[in-house]
Amino acid sequence: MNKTILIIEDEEEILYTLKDFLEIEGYQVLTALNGFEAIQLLEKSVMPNLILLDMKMPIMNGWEFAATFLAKYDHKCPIVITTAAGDAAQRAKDIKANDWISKPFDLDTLLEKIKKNES
Amino acid sequence: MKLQKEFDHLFENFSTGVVFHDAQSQVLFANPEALRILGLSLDQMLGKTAADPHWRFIREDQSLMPLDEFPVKQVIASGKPIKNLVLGILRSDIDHPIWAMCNAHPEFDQAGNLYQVVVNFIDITERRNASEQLKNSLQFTKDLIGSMKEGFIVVDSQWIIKDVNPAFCLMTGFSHEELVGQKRPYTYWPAEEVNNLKRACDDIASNVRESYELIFMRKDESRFPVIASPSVVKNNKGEVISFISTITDISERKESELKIKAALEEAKSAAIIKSRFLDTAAHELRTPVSAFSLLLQLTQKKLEQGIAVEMPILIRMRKQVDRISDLVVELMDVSRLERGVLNLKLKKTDIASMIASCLDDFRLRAPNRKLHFHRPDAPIEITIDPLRINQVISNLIDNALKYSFEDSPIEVSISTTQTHLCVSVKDQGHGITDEKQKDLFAPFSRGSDELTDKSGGLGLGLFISREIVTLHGGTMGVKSTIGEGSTFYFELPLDKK
Repeated sequence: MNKTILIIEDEEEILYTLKDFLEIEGYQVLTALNGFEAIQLLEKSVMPNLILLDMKMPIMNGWEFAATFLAKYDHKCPIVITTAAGDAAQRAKDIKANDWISKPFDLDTLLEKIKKNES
Repeated sequence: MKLQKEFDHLFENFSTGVVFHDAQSQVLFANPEALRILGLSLDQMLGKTAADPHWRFIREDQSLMPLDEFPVKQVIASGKPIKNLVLGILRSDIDHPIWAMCNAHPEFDQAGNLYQVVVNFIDITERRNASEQLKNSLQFTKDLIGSMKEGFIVVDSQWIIKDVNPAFCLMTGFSHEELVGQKRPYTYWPAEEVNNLKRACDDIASNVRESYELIFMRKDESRFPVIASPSVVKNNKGEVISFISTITDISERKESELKIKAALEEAKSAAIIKSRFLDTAAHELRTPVSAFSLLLQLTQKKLEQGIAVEMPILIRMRKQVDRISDLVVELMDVSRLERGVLNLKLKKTDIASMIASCLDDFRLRAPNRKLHFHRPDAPIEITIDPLRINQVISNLIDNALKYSFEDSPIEVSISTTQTHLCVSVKDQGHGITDEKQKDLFAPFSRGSDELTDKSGGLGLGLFISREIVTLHGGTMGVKSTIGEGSTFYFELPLDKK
């Protein structure tokens, strides 16, 4: 069975390009434009094998989503954060994410990180 | 005999010149010191009278002394002694007078007739020169202190003012009389500074520092900052007789200090704004670059896997490049504006039609939005840079669309007066607070919170728009009510007929 990835990213163009790419690589892809949408999505569907989490989003940002998710689901699903900030590793640590990838990133690196962390 | 010898010895070596005259002023005798001072030999002197042209004396004021003022003549005439007469002796062999202090007394015989006059005199040339020099240097010092730009003050050990120079009076607005001899030393001390000044005075009395920054008070009670550089004057017992000090008015200096501080603060905040701007610009560019890069990578993957690449993906790429391009253009505009080299390409334009077609473009881009144009039927000709004014209008409409709801209308209007043309863009969005209105047209001001709204752009649109309008000789402004919406408007001067 194909693995599922949830991408949470507020830049639509980036969101849909990643979706297209990951689908070519054989994944099922769920999308959400912000943390709030993502929480709603998770209530209705199956737990994905990996969450790709953007940090700066409107309505509910990366920090808030991580806190809510971990409180609700503990570490049921690995989280990889995407961020343009310089201290990416520190941010990942701060919100107890499994891994991080800095923006801008290339698709090959992204794939590596996904393969490494997926459940 | 011994006494005579001693007397003779004394006479020979006396440091006072002594001349004996008879009752007709003929010289009977002169001692060596007299000869030395007068520059004459005994032969030249003996038997000469006062009238002899050898004697030429001057008074203290350097005027020639007439014969009857000569000491010997005066004594002969009055029969009374002369004491401490200062005269100058003009000698043919020296170019400057020899100054002498003279005493002369009469000798009377038993019948009471004057038979002899004894004149004695000492050479006071050196002493007099020294005293002249002292007088000159004293005068020099007085002139110096009198003409100094700095204030100068002398107070006694009780801080009573003994003297002040003209500059001090000028500085404080008090006259010399109002200050000198005042029983209380508080004439120029502002009441609130009295403790500071007292402390400074105690300090000066015990251990003078080089300078003190103080606040003085003028006659009109205005305060001004000064620097006092005091010294203590003591007598040879080591007791303090007075304190003297220069007082320099440093109000100008303080003002400059404040101005420099303010300029520094301004420069600092400008630097912070610039670096924040650089950061924002970099961030703004990163997003479309990122998206574009991913789209290209996706295309590569598709080609690798033999999947067809279709037009939509190219259009998406195009959109990102356009975004980058727009940002770059904005940056270049700002740079040109900063350097003052944004040039207008002026052309006679029908601005009403221009706005109409601009609105048509917007209607294509945002077909769901209601855009209304209120205009007179006739064309409106005006000399403007059409590209730049179009840029301004697009900016205003863009903002209006961004900051209002999907179903609310945008009203664009154009009207004219005798001299001006006015264009306004009205939306029914949230409105803008008075607070935010202040910085609206400033560069790098964004409409919303940076963390939640990524579509804010660089915040340069309104800044650039207003600059363009200003370059056209016009003005730009905003009227807004919270909850009702905002109207952005600009006015341009019409062409002169």
